[in-house]
Amino acid sequence: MQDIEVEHQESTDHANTLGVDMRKFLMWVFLGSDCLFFGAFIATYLLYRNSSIVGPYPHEILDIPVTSASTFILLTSSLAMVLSLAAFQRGNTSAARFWLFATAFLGSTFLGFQVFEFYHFAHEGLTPKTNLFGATFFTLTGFHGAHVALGVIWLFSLLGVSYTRGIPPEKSMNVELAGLYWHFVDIVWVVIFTVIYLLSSLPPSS
Amino acid sequence: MATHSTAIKGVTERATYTGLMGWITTVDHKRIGILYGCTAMFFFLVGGLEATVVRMQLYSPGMDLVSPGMYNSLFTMHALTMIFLAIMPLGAAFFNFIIPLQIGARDVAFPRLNAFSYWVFLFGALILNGGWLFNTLPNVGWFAYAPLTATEYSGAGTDFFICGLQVLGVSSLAAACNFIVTILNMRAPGMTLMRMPVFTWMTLIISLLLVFAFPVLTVGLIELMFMRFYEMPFFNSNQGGDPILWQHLFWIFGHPEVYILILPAMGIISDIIPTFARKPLFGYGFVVGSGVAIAFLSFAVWAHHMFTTGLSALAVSVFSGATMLIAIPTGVKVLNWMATLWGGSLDLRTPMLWSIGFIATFVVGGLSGVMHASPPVDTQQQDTYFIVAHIHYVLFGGSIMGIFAGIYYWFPKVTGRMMNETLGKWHFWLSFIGMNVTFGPMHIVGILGMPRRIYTYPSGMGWDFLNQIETIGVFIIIAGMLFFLQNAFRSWKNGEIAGDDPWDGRTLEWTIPSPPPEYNFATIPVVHSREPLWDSKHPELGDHLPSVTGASDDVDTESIHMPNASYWPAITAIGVGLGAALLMVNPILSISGVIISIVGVYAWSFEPAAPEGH
Amino acid sequence: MVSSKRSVLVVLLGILLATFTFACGNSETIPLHTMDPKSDVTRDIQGLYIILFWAATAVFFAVMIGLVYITFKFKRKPTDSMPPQTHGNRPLEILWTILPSVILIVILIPTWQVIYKTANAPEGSMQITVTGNQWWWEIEYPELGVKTSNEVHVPIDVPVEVTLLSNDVIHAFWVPQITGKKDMVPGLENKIWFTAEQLGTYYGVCVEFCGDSHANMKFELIVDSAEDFEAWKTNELAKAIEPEGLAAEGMEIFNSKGCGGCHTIEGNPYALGIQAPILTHIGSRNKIAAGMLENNANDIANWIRNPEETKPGNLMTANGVMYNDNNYALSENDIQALVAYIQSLK
Repeated sequence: MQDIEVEHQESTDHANTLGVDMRKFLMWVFLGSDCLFFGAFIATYLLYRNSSIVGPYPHEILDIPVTSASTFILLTSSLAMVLSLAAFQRGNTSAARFWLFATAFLGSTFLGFQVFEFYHFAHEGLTPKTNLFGATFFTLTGFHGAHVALGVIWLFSLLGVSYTRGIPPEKSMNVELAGLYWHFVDIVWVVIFTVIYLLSSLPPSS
Repeated sequence: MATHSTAIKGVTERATYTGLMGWITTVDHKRIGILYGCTAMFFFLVGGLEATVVRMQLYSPGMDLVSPGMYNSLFTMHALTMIFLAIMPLGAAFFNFIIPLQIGARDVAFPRLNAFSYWVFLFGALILNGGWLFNTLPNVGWFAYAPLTATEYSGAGTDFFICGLQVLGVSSLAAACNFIVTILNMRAPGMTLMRMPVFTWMTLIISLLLVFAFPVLTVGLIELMFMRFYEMPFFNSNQGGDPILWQHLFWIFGHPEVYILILPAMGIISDIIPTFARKPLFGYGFVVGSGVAIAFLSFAVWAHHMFTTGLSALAVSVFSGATMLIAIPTGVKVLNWMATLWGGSLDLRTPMLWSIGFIATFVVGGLSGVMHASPPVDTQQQDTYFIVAHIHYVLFGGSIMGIFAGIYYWFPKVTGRMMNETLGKWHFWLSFIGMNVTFGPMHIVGILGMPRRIYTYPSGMGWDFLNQIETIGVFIIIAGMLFFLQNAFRSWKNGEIAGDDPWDGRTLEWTIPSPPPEYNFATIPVVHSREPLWDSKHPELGDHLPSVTGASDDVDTESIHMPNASYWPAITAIGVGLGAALLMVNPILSISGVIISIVGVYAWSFEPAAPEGH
Repeated sequence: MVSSKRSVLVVLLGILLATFTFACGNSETIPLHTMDPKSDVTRDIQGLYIILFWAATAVFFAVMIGLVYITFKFKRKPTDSMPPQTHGNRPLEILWTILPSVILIVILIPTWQVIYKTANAPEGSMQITVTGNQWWWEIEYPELGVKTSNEVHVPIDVPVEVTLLSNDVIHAFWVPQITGKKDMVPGLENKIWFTAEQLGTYYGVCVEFCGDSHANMKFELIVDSAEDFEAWKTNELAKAIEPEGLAAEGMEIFNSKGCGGCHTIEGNPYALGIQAPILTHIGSRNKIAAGMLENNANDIANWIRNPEETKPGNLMTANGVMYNDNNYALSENDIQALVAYIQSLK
């Protein structure tokens, strides 16, 4: 009966039916839901891709080289996230903190690029009110940016916790959860980058 | 009464509260279930009153009981209240109370998240009803088709609609994620997926539907909100926007939502019928499989709400075919319930009456559904009272009948006392007759061409007599509800003592005391079959090992770890509600709500979930 | 026991009988009857409807009789022993998975046939454009050059294609005896077509919720003989009659109150507005206020006196100077003059 007695308490790593950590499971389910969230925004964007009746149009204003750079930065942050988690799991705290900081820093840099891009577009005359492209572009990338911002806050919070309470290897799940979220947000960006930026170089279909 | 601070310091004592604070800080799935149930029952009565006024206005041609604007608000609020504030949370009440008991667990996977779901639901319900205070109720229909929802055509009521539903979405999503993890990951040893009670199965399916359907509505609402608040041209045809996109987003959510409303009832009666027939559910695998099939198909049929919007002939043909496919798993379920009844020893007590009543009325709703799954026929039925009849046979004759079956069935488990059989039977027969008198003639009045959502009609259309009958039917239903309320209040305190297993039950929830202790199971049961209690009572019947169930005498229940009470879920929920409500006033102000939520989440993350030191 | 079974059956049969009695009325007494086809398209729909109705009725009775029979037969008796613990039966399950599939195929094939048969209008159909507004209908015959409101005329036995548009929110066009429902969506061009097969006046309503006065948005569709249609067309193409006497006074008032800012009356140079129904030949129509009121002096006067009573939320009350500024309010004499003017617009 011993293995039956231990069950479920929130934030513990006890055994359970499927042998998956409760919180990790929850995160996966939430991310599944989030897929549909972004999916609906992406569908809206695609549906309205050629529907704007006034400019600026995507191919006139999107800067693929600059955004490629910010995409590269965001993807690099995923690598830093992996290294940080691995270090936490090994108990190598200083390396873990370094990579955790690197992840959050690269994420912030990505946000910086996005803020710059938004200002630039507003300057060029594209706001969310201008046309359907503006409305769909700003909501889709804006909500992605909000996800990144939340992730950055989470990562910095973890950094703070590692200095105050410490994150020993047996509590590395706290980092792993943030990592799952972070990788998901990066993957979503890859899709957004493809759908918005790369597709804009195609000639608009009639 | 231990205080919160003792737990913070790492003392092993558990944080608990009593009285009102006890309810606010509770993380016990059973108490949260009761909170859901009582709140939802209150809103069920509110929604019923709204419907009563609607029906009284239609009693005869040219009635002038309420203004057209008020009438439009009332039918909008009736739908929103019944769907989001009554049937869904009544389902949630059962999920909360029953699921951990059926799978042999001591709580849900995330007790504090569960409390958070309830409080967010409550604040969402208040926001949705906030229009009553300012006399600007939503009046665009619960489907809120653009561009009627644009600022040119509708007032602040639409903002209450948007913000209320967004908050309710947060609640549903949190609850659904929680139940998926709970059901898949917290089953007692030996309870494989195909040994789960059908109600647990249906809850799992509903949770999956919610997780995948609700975000689509969230996106639709965000786009609608941005169109109204910030003039973004999402559904504005003058700037190239497509009002039909709203309908796609709404119904991609909306059709799975229909199954979110009906599947709990199907699960409930799949548990009740075997109990009162004294034989196992016929074709368990097929009943579960049909539920899964319905869930999959529900994402492929949304456009049958849009047959008349100008979709291509090909799209219409495909969606009509997919819609009709749903009739197959539904039919399989009905026939399996009937096969379960066949050859049984049917004890026609109140829960069983509701279950058999469910089959009878739900079949009518299913058949009329097949009729307008045929698009040409739908062009003569859509937006007439025929559809009103259909949805009420499905939602009242289906969901509500199933929910009442469940209330009579599990009331003894929740309160420890039986409901009165005589009053229960009065309630059933009055409701059954009342609903058929109210909604039956709507089929005919629909065929006679009466459109939905009209606040008045002239005489001479052939509708007068039938409308009178329908309105009279409402009062029969109300009479039934009075019997129910009387029964519930009286039985809660003074009903006959139920004992652990009043119905000769078959599943795990009947192995423990009524009402269950906070920890549910003194020892976690080991399950060897689909009907563990039944098989342990009748070892002579099968080759199964009788299931080990909790022998509580030799267990020190003091040593069972239970989670701490916490007020942070409620505070975080206040933040969410405040943020959404203030969004209608000024986005800057709503930051205060965000800050409260963030503080709540931090405090929640850093407080110990359970007493430390064990 | 037997008698209660029989009584349940009697009730069920009674319900069916009642349904039939009600469903078999005719358009004389029930103007919006959906099972009274008077065009080729609605006749096709009706054929499908009947198949579905009988299929559903058959299944309904099979299930109800079965359910009632089982409930009475297996009701618990004190002598009952433990019933056999059957868990299922695979061949039976497969049978009742296939059985509904067969019924559905029987329904689906004619459904698809009717969808494609009614999808596209025949070549050379007469064209009509109907535009929905809160809460009236703008009607245009682009080939004939006719523009009118709230009353559609079509010749008998001629295929007609109707293009459906909207100027504000979503409305829907529905004349149950002539054509099934189709939505009028802003920014979209939906089309329906039909060939009317019987002379007469048919009722149409908006069947997509469109705001406060959704209940008050109706019209008439009149199927004319070829000669009558020709005569109607000739009259519609003419300019409005020059009013005399009290009607001429009415025109003065009409023009001085700014009614022409929203209404068009061909031939009246001060009446060029496009936000409200065209009134050029309103005197010859059956109804006024989009199917709401009779076209007689009393109803017209009531409408002008207090439009809000007939159509809450209408733009005339909101924007008309005579309803919002006491200096411009209409006297009873003004109203009588306006009635005379409107009635003169044959």
